[in-house]
Amino acid sequence: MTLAEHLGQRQCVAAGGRAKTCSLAELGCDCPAKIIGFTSDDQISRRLFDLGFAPGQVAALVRRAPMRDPMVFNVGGSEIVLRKREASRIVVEQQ
Amino acid sequence: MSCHAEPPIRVGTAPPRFALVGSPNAGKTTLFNSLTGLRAKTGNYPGVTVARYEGRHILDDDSHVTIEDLPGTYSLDPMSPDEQVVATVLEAGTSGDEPLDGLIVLLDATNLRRSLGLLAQVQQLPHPITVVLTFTDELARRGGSVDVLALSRATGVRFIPVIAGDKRGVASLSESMGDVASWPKPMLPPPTDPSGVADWATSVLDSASFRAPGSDKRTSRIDGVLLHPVWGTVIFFVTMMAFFQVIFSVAAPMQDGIETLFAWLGGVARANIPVAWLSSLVADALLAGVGGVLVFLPQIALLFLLISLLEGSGYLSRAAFLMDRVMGWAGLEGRAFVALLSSMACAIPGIMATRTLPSAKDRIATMMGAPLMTCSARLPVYVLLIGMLVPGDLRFGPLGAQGAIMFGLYLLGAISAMLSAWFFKKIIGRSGVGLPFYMEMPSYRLPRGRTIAVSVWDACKAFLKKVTSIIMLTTIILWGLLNFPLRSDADLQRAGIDSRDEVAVKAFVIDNSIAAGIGRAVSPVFEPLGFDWRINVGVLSSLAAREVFVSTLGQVAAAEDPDDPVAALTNMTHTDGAHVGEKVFTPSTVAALLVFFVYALQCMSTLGVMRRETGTWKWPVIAFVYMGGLAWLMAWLAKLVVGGMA
Repeated sequence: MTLAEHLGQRQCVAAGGRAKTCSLAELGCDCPAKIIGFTSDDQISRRLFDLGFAPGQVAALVRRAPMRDPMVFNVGGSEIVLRKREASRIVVEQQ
Repeated sequence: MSCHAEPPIRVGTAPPRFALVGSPNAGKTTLFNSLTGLRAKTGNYPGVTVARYEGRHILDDDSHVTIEDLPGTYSLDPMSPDEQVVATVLEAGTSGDEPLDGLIVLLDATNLRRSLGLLAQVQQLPHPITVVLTFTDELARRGGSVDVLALSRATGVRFIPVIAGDKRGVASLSESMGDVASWPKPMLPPPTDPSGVADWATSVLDSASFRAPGSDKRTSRIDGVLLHPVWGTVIFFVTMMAFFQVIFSVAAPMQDGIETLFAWLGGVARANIPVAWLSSLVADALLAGVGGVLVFLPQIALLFLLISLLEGSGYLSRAAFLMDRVMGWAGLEGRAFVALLSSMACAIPGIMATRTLPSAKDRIATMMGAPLMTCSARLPVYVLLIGMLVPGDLRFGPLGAQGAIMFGLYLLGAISAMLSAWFFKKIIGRSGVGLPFYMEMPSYRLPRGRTIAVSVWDACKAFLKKVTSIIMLTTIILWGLLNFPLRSDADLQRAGIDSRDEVAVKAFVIDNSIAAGIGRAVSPVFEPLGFDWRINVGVLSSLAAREVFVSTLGQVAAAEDPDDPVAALTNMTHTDGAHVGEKVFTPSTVAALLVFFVYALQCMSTLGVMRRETGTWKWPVIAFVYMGGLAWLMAWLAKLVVGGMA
């Protein structure tokens, strides 16, 4: 098995039954939230994980583009641009 | 122009081989440049290194090692073609015929947690690993800190801090490359499953007393303005407008200087070369033709200077962010915008930059649009034609009219490129899964003078090379076609031309040349656009390279009026057909020509690269045919509209 195949078998934590959860796309400015997991378990979620959107990490919305999409998030010291579609896969717990 | 990216330099497999692995923007290319001295392009935009680069590094004992700069990747779980390259090279390095002796993993100290995830993945491979920790200066500036020795202890691999390729860091890396056997290795590789790797990273960071950096105050202050929903967009368009104003206004005096020089040289050649045909070859073909293209060197240099300033400062990523939504309407993503933006230099790097797109369908759709972006080869043609259309001192408010028209043409190209990408995306069909778009916003950095100088120099060199090879060759062939068959005195007498009147003789020869025959043969196609046979020859010859159009017209004009070729061009009249005696370059014809050049795919190298990147001739053929058809149609419309206004 190649390393890529091995890494492709990683399971990303799926979010389940907690109160006060919402998706990262619904986050308001100045309101950091803790990442809990992803809505689905596939390569896109694995890539978001590798980009630093790891469960337990705190993410914050920095700004939105002129037409509200895409958005810039601060996570783990870097600013990452995501479209609403990808951001809505990330489940967060508001603090 | 800087198009033709050099193929990777292959060195024998004998010396030890090391690969640089790291995420985009971790400083790989800068380190690669300091190690090898080989100039690969460095930039602040994630994903600049798409081609494969290899270079040689000389160790202290004068033996050398091979360094391979891999494309930036956030993960070894590949999604896009260039990430696949990384996975393949690393996998082949363990078993294949290109073994790797060691991996140098670059980690950005400002986002260490994420970087450790990549390190954990790389550590699954059996290779010896050394980590280069970059941007520790930025970490400190933003109030963070880390104990580098403790990092080495906790991960079991050696960490060497290197700031922007500084001498001391590079020297200690170089020293360690001489002794791979001594590289430490942990007993067990770290875990890769999400929760395991998160715990591992936490424990490593804790034991290295890592203090995360605060947000970059400078960058967020600048972004507050440059990415403001209203001001950001306004500034974006103002920046783009200014871009073209600068290209015109700053380059003009230098351009005039070069023009005067070539006119003077032409005069010297005519006066001093006794053999008539040789004097014509040197003065008309080489000096007026090739020199006519060389005149645009200042513009090319400025274009690349401005692009590399935008890229090196980090603004290009912001532009992609601002434009992502617009690209979304065309069914594409912000990274496709960057591929299209690189096509403003030349379609070839633009097409190669599509390798960062994960979806094959997006790649093809972007490739079909990319050649419509105004590349630097169109610049000479636009400058020449716009100069004939409006005088240099005409202004629209604060804007020079010439710069404004140029901006309009770039905008037309960009909009057409997006529409065409949208259209092809529709035809090819939607991609099955919604593929993700993500991009890291780099901090604003002062562009490095050396990087900019290299980029401008490479562009100028590529332009000069093109001028002295394909453009010169085509120009000489055209000179032949324009000056043959030779006319005897008897021929001239029969036609009623005084053989002592050199200008009349020349005009007669050209008007009855082989080229004129070809130009007239295709005139049914181009007649509706108002082109005469000379323009037809120019358009046909520009298939070799767009700039040849300028050198062709330059030749014809110099032959008709050696003292003032510009006036000769402006006053050129139709020699046959329905419009005999009327001026050729009427506003409507010039507009039609400009629009024709916006759309036509007159570039053999672009077709070649499309073939290479898609693996079939199907797409280059489709691109050539649809752009040719579109060019004719839009030029015809432009003629109609401008003709109606006049």
